[in-house]
Amino acid sequence: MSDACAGCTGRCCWDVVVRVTGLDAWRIRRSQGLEYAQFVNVLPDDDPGGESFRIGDRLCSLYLAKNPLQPRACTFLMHLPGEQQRCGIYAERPLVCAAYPMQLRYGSVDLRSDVRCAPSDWNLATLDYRRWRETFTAYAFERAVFGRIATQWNELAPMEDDAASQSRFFLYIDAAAAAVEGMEVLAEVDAACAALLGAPLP
Amino acid sequence: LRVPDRVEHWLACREKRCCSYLLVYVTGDDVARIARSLAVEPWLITAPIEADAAQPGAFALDARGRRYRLALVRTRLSDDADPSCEFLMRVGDGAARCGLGEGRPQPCRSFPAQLVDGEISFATAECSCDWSRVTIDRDADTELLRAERSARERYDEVVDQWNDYVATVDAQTTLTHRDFCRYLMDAYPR
Repeated sequence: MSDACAGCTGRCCWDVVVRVTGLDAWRIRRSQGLEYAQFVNVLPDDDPGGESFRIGDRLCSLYLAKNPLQPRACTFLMHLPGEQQRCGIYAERPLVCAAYPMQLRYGSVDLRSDVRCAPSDWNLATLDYRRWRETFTAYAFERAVFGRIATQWNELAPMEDDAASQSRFFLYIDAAAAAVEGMEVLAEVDAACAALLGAPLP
Repeated sequence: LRVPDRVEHWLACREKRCCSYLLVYVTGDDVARIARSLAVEPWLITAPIEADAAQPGAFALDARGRRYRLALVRTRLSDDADPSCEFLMRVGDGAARCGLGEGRPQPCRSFPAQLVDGEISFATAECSCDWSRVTIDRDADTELLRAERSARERYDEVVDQWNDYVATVDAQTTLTHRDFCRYLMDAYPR
C-alpha cells in the first residue's frame, strides 16, 4: 500500500461503479470461496468495447457489487476504527483498482485528473514508477486476454435467455481463466477458449 | 494453486461463527504484518484483554501487576448481532468473509486444527459447520501449528522484555495499549 493511501478514507471505493474483467472476478472468487453472483453484477454496456460479452441479446460487462447496507460503498470495503476504510480483498483486488489513481498519459505514468483523493496526497517525485508501470502492463495485457475470451464467447456461445446465458458464461469464465493462466500469446488464448466452447463446459 | 480441504471448507462457510465466538489472540508478528499491509495503526485494530499474570504473552502496563493479552478488536455488525471480528465482512447475500484474506492471523489460518500430543485434531464444538467429512492434512497442519507455536514463543520473549522494562517505571506511571503497540512495531521491523 502506498504512503498516499495510508491516510485514505476510501473515497475511490464509494460512488464509483467498478468495471472488472472476468479474470479479476475469477481471482476473487477463487481466493474468497464466493460464487460470482455474490459479488459481481452483469449489466448492459452503455458503451460496449472489446471486453464486452453477450448475455441474451445484449452486450454486457461485470461490475463489482455494492454493500446492501451502504449502497454507495463497494461490497468489499472494510470499515475500520478511526474512520479508516480499507479494501477487504487487497491482495486480489481488481487490476483497475490496483492501477488507480494513475493513468498512462503520453506513455508516462501520471495522476488521473478525476482523482477522488486530494491531488496533494500524491507527490509524483516520490512515485515508484517501475511498480506503477508493471501494474499498467499487467492490466493492459489482462484486458487484452479477457477481450479474446469475450470475443470467442460472443462468436461461439449459443443464444439463450439472459439467465441461462449468464449461468453458462460464469462456467465459461471458470474454465477459460484456468485454461489461459500463464499464457503469453493471445492466439493461444483464442485456441484454448474455442476448444472450451466446442465441448460441454464442466 | 491447491487450497487445502480445511481452508476450502472454512472459506465456503457462509456464517463464520468462529469469527464471533473466538477472541483472536495475536502475536507481534500478526499485529505488525496486518498493520503494515493495511497501513492502519496497530492500536486501532487490537484491544487489550485482561489476563492472568501467569499467562504467557500477558503484558503489563504498570508495575501494579495487572496483565493483558492482545486480541483483534471486535465490533457489532448490527445492534442485535453478537460481537464479531472487526475484519469480518458480509457480501451482498449476507455471506461472511474475512477481509484479511491470506494476511489473517496465525490462529485463524490454522483454525480449527490443533496439535495435542503430536496429533492433529479439529476443535469445532461451537462451530455451526459440519467438519466430519473434511480431510485432515496432517503434515501441512502440523507444520503450520509448529510455526505458530514458534511465533508464539518468540512473542512471549518479546513480551517478557517489555514487562521487564515496565517493572522499572515508577509506580505512578501507567503506560498505554498504544505504547505497547508501538513497542511491538519496533520489535518486529519490516
